Amino acid sequence: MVRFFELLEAASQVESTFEPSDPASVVTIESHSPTSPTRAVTEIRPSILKAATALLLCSAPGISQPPPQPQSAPAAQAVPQAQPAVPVLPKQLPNFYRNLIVIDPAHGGTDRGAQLTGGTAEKDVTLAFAQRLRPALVAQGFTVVSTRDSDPVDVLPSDQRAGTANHTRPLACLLLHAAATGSGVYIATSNLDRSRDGSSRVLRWSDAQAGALDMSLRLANEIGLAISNAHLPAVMMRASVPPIDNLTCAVTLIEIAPLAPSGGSRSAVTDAAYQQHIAEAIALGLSSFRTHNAPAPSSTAAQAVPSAPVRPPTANSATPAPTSKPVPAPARPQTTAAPSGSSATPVATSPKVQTRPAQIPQKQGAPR
Amino acid sequence: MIPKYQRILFWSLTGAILLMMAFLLRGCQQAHKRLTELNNASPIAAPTSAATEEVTLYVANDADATITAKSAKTALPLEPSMRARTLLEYLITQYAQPDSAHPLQSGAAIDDVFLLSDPAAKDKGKIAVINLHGDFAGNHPSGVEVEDLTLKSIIGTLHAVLPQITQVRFLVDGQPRETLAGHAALDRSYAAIDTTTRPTAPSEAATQP
Repeated sequence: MVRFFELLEAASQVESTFEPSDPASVVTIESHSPTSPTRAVTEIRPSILKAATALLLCSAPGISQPPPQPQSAPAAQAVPQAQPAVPVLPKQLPNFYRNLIVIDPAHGGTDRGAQLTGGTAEKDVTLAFAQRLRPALVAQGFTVVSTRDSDPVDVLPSDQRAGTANHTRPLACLLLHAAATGSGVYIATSNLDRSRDGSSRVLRWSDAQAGALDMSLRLANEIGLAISNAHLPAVMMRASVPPIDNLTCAVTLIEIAPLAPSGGSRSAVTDAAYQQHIAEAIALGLSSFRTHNAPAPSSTAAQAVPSAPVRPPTANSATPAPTSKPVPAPARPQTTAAPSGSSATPVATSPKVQTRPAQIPQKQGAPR
Repeated sequence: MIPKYQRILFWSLTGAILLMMAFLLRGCQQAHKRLTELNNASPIAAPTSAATEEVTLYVANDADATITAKSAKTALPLEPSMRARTLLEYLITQYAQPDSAHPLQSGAAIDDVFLLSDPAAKDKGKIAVINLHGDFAGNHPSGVEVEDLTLKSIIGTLHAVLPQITQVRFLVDGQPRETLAGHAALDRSYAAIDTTTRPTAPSEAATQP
C-alpha cells in the first residue's frame, strides 16, 4: 500500500510539469483517418494524464492494489485519516455497454467475398442481412453499431473493423458471413486457447480475444440455442477468421448457408424470409445472453435474493427477455446520431456515460 | 389367325430391339466412364521405390462440418519434408475425387513443406511451413466452414504422420497471405494437434456464467 502512494506521488510529479494556465500544457493528439478527410483532435488535460499514469503504475504486476470498494461506500471509509488524500480519479469506463451490439457485415468494396448462387456476391448478402438484423435487435432494446452500412469503395481492413468494435465496448459483436456450401447456420467462435497468461495486463493484438473467450462461447451457445429453437439447423464450430482474434468483446461469427431441409424446398441465402427468420432468432439469443451475463443494474440487486432461475426465452415466445424493467439504450458514439443512423467510424470518441454501465461479475473475465 | 412368318418376323424384330437397347445402354455407360475419367485430372502417382504404408488422413466433410480420421495406404518417402509434402498432396488428391464430401479442385496444391526447428519447443519440436500453390488458394471454395475444414484437415493429417511437428504456418506462393480464400486466417500459426471435429449442439447448461 505504501508503494501505491509512492507511485501516486510520482504521478503527481508528472502533473507538476504542466502549468494549467499555460495553453501549451494541453497535449493535443491529432489523428488522420485514411478513409475520412476529417481530422480528429483529442486534448488531454494534465489531470487526465495524472490519473492515467496512476492507473498504469498501480496496475503494474507485483504491486498490490487496494481492494475494490463498493460503490455505495463513502470515500472517507475507504481511506484512513492518517494517509494523504487520494485524488479522485475519473470514473472508469465500463468494460462493456450492455445494450450495445456491433455487427460487422463481412467483405465490401473490391472484396466481394464468396460467389453465391445466382452470381450474388457475399458482400451484398451480408449487408442485406445486417439491415434485417438491425431492426430485430433494436426491437429487443439494443443499440446497433455497424462497421459498414453501404458498399464502400475500398476494402475495409479487418484491423479497422476490430478497432471499431473494440473502441465502442459492446456487449457482443457479430461477424456476418454467407456461403454457398453447407446447410443452415454456422456459428463460430475463435479457436484460440484459454491458456494465455492471465497475470499480464497487456493484450496482444493477435490474440486479444483469448481473454473474452468464455463470454464468446456462451454467446455462441445462446445464439445457437435460439436458432435451434427456431427450427433451423445450427452448427457450432471454432475457426480463426479475421478479425475474430483481435476483438476484446464477446464475439461470434455467423455464416448463413443455404437451407436444405429433408423433403422440403431449398432456401437460398438470398431468401428474405429465411434471413428474417435467422435475424429474429439471433435477436432473441442476444437478449437471452444479456439477461444471463449482463443483467440490468436494478435486477442485479433483486437477484441477490434467492429466486427462481430466469429461463431463457424461446424462439416461439414473442415477448422480449425478462429484464426487470426496460433499460434505456446507451448513447451511440458521437459520430453516430441515432440507433438507426449511420455507422460509427473508428475515430469516434468514447460513448458518453449517460449509458448504464454493466455490472460485470468478477468471474466473467471481462476483457480488460 | 396370324400367319407363321409374321409371328417369326415380330419376335425377330422384338429381339433386335432388345439387343439394340442393350447395346445403347452399354455405350452410354462406357461414355460416362470415359467422361468421368477425363474430369478426374488428379496426377498419376510417380513410381517410387518406397513401400506403401498405412497412414491416417483427417478427412473433412462439408455436410456436417466434421473431420474424421480415416486410414489409407500410400507410399511415402523417408525424408520428413518430402514425406509431409507427398502426404499432403495425397490428401488433396482425395478431395479432388468426384465423390468427395469436401470437393476441391484438382491440381497441384503443395509447392513445398519446410520443417524448421521450433525454439520454443523443449523436445526438438518442428515448425512446418506449408507453401501452398497460388492456384490452389485461388480456386479454393470460399466460405468460413469450407476453408476452416481444409486447414484442419491438413493440420490433423500432418500431426498424425509427423508428430514432431508442433506448429504449422502457411504461405501462398512463398508469400504470407491474410486468408486462404477470404475467410480462414493464414497469417497466424496453428498448433499441430488432433483436429478431429464432431458437431456440437448448443445446450441450456452452457448458458449460465
